Amino acid sequence: MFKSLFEKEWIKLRWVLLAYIIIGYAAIFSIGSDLQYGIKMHGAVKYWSNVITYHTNFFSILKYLPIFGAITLAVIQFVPESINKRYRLSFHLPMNEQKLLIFMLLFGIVSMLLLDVLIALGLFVVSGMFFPSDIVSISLVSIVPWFLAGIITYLGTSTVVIEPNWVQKVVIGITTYFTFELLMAERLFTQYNNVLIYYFLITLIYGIIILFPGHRLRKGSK
Amino acid sequence: MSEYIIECKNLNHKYGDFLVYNDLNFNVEKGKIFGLLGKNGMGKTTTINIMMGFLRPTSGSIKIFGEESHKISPATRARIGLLHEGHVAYEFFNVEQVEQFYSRFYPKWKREYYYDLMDKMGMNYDHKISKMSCGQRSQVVLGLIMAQVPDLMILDDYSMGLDAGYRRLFIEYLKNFVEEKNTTVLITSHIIQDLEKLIDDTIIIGRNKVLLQMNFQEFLQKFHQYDFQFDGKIDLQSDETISNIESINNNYSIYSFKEKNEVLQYLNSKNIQINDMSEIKMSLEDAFIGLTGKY
Repeated sequence: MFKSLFEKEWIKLRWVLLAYIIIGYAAIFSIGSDLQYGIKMHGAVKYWSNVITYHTNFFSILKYLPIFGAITLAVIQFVPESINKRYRLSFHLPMNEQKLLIFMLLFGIVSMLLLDVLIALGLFVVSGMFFPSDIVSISLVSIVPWFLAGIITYLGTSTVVIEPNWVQKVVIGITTYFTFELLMAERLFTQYNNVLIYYFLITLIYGIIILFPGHRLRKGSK
Repeated sequence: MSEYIIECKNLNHKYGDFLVYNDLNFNVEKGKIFGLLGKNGMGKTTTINIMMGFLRPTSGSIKIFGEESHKISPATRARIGLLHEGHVAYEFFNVEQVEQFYSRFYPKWKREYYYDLMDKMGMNYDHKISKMSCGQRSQVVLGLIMAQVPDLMILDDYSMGLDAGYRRLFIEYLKNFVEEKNTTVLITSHIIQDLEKLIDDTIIIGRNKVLLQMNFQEFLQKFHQYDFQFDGKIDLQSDETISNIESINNNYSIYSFKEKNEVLQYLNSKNIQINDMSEIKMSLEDAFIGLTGKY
């Protein structure tokens, strides 16, 4: 059964996932060429000094990639399951509806995380070519909230698509937007260490919220 | 003793203040083909949605295989082949992918039932469902339900969007299959001319009420149309004798389960003197419209 579900999600999402990683690596390539150009133009000492003293964010091009990726992923994954009340096809399958929904969400989350890890690896390699390990590791920590914002955006968008009640759709949409704003707030790229644990907790809560509309859809409403 | 696969008891449903029906009762016997019929908007799909647990009724209950409709277990769902209104299907799959997808969910899966139908249709296995016509999609959905070899088929408005040829194809395949497998079927439709040789028992629902609940052949034999001319206005409500009355100018049609002389006596008792009243042979569609009304 899970093999079937895996294949279904793969058939729907393979092109989006491929596009995500291609765009991600195009961004990494762009970061690498900008760094090369910057160091060539200003000299390595001045460029390093800028990054260390002024916390210049040399990888900001990656900031919105997880968000756009997450919205696209959620829409491509759940809209074909929701239009024309097509969710009834899935919920008539002979398996527990929560397991079904959790599997679909895990597929989306794990796929995004895997691709995020590959993108982070690309950033690690490229920034490692120009900077010492301290700056490289701080850079990697700094992109974690963006990836978490991507996961929250994915969960929020999925919930909005699945949720049958329009009022609750709007409430979840607004809540997701403000949570997203919190995670994407401008910070110097060295200031994320203390707040990451809270960001993880928020992401976990979103993972639970999405199970409610699925439960209501399956169990029926008056 | 007969075994009921579906038991609908005292079912009431409202959308806000709008009453869909009140006190709906019916049972579907094992191995029978049961028609849940009625015009559009009379609550057929609502009943299916309640039956499959997608909607909670305002009151009353439906049991399927002895389980309450909103608590149907996955094991029982595996015994039910459900055709959703509009022949809804996963449109991102092609012919082959959709068969592979469903095959792993159903222990009795017989892929040959599905591929026989696809081959008869001359369908390429890489044909994507989103690119199919409604008729082609209906055959894919029927093939999948048959391959599941269910004990119960629930077919919600199978005729929606199908031309006469596809409707006939659908019914012929279905009839052949259910006779061979002794499958219980609940079928809903607002187009009934194809169902004459298929359905055993029927319930026909009108606005807020049950219009008829009986054996289908008995309905066809006992329901009559009587035409007559009358100068003047006849204002009769449906009751035990008159199921429906329709008129255009001074030409009247009365639909009734009573014999001609009983209807004439009834009209006389209402001071409506009829000189000449003739019984008109009805098609199934005529009888259905005669019972449910044109409006």
